[in-house]
Amino acid sequence: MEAGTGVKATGNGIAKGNSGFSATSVGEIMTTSLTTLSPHHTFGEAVQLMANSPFRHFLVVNADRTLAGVFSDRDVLRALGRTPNWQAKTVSGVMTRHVITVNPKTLLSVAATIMLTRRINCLPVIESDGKVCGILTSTDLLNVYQKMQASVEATRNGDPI
Amino acid sequence: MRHDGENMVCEGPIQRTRRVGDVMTREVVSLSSRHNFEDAVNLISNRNFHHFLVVDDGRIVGIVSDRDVLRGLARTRDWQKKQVNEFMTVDPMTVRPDTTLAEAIGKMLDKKINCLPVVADDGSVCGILTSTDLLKAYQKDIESADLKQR
Repeated sequence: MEAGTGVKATGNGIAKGNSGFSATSVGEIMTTSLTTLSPHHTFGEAVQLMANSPFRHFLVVNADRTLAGVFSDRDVLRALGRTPNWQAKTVSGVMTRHVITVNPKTLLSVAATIMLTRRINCLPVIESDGKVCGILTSTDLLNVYQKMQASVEATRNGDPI
Repeated sequence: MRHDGENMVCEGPIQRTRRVGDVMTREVVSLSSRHNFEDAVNLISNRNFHHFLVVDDGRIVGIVSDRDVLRGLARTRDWQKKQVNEFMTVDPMTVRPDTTLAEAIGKMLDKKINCLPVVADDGSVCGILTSTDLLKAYQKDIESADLKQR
């Protein structure tokens, strides 16, 4: 799936193009190949998916690719702890519905501020047509920061970047 | 924060080599391994953080995250009878105050963890570094870069 800026995703979802430390907007570093859930998936199916995946956040997406909610591993753990008949639940019963989103042109500094002030680690990325086009997590931002810092250190050591 | 004698000239926030000691949280909340798991549950529920250290005799022996607590609650029938040491990650990865940010972030990303205890040369805990601390540092660095470009 392509983002609005024309950045392509490789099989593991890493965006190519301007994905180094000089990236300034969400579209340049977001993950575009997404594993999503439907609101009708059962909670059990969602837990299975999560257990077999390295990801901790999943976007819950309607058939028309609009966003229904977000489902994280913390939601799962909380539900397992509190809900007696969790096997009967659907994803829509457990997911977070009131979700803050960004678009591909949102500045990374703005995205970081949102994550910090709202204490969240995942921002769905929505195109101007209202459809989900990617996901940005705090891990993506830390990846960029690591590259920034590594290049600063390399510069100071006189290493070629 | 320790200086190793290198001349760290501030050409701007992004140009300086940043180290763990520059951004870590110094106030560390910890429990002993013998504390009741219930204390851990209360700590995580009532306070605004996601990790705490397990420290015995001034030495770090483990780390507990909110995910560990939630998992414990979900899986353990009689969790009220358990102790912290049954739910902690033993012998956690640590960093030093003079570890570079690039190295520290690399460790977090590699191990998929969000908290690194910071220990001094003598092995005593002097802080913790969380992904939130790093996110804050990143935000400050790029915000000032945004301003420069205008």
